[in-house]
Amino acid sequence: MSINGEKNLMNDQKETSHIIGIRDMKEEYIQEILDQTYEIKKTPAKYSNSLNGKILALAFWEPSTRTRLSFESAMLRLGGTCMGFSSQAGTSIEKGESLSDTITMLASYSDCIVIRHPHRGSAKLAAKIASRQGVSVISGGSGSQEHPTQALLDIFTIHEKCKRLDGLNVGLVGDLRYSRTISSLLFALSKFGRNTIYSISHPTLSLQEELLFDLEDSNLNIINLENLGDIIGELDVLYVTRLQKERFPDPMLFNKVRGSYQVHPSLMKLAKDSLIIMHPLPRVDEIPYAIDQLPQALYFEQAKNGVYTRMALLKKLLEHRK
Amino acid sequence: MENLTDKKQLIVNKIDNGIVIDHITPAGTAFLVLQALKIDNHFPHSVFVAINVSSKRLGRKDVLKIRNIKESDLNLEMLGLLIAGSNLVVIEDYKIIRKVRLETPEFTRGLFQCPGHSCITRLHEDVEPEFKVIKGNGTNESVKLRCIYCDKIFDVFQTLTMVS
Repeated sequence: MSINGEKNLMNDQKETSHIIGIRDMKEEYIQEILDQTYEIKKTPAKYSNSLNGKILALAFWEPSTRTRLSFESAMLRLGGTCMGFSSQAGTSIEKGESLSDTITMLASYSDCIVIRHPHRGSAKLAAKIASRQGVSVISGGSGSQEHPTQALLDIFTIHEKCKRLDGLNVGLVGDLRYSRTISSLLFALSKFGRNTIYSISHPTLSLQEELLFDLEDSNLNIINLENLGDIIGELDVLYVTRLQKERFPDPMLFNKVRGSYQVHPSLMKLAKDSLIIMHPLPRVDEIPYAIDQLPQALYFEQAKNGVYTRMALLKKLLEHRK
Repeated sequence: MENLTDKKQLIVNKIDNGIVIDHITPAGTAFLVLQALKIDNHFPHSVFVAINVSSKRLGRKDVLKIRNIKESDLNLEMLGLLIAGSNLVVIEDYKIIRKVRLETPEFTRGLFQCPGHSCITRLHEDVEPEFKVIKGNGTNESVKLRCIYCDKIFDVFQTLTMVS
């Protein structure tokens, strides 16, 4: 089994690449994906037969709109086909079937499996199991751990607009503790030189200890703040995540602090013209609709880039699979 | 069992067969070691526990002597996680037949359940919990494990204390 594109041989004697997380992914591998994404975005039609005859299994234990549908769109645009499930309803999981057995079965039906599961470590376990049949696994989000393909499309979007991935001032706002997107994005940014990260959240939703442990020796300069207004004028990238009421011990506290983590139109007067506002979506009210009209609002373009990035990834993993 | 011959010396009788674990630090860890070895009052043989003994090199240490237990009965990996640097001495017929310095392993599998509440290994799955050992600043107290699945980092001592 090989994790994150690096190939090696394990006991099963099969060489299989997986995309489990950004933490252990090499910068060169990420760069290759970004380069391929640029090529595909320029002329997507050129790749419409790249994965003819290949089958992608979508195994989603949790709800998803963008991740699942953009993978499906990516696979179809490459000439492949998709199968799978988007909730536990109607599958044997409802009868108590394990992830291990479900993945074993899907591996015999497909060439690659995208998995989203509420438990941390789920993608890694799936990769271990699918390796036995030489099938690749891509994480579409494993609990609060990582969401690697989101990070790939995020840094593609940042690079496309800012023309660089280093020397950036990046503000992260909202629920930073339970956001798998934030973990993967920080791992990605840590591989491309020195960036300053402004972590703007309520103390109960600050960055995970495990993440800070991993980033301790990285090039990232992480600064904790509680108010977006204090720093918005300095930012090149503002990455907003959804605050989830259920994460707060007290609903009163949620109502009290939510305003501090919203992007009010009035705040935008302080922002640079070149600022880009990103969001993994779905949003609730942390970015009001009024912001959508501003040139800095990039979240829908970001979501669109998800298709090209996932095309690049699928092509890289599957093109030469027999 | 024990004789005080004078005010400076504590003598614990030699054991005929079994093991001695010396230089256990930090002092007070011996009870955790017994717990990890699953040795309690139902264990049928003598167990000598010395806690907080003066040591020129270590300041304070613990010593364990356990009769009629074989090296093969011990989980050396677990001992290495708890008391790396301690010496394990195997005794047969009052003679030392082997002396081993316990070392911290790099990985460990199946000894602990992952304390991460949302870890996939907590579900009924085809997986054995597996951890990478994160060595601290050279003291046994700071040995931590990291789940290779969910990345949860935890302290071995704290986990054992919670189990008890």
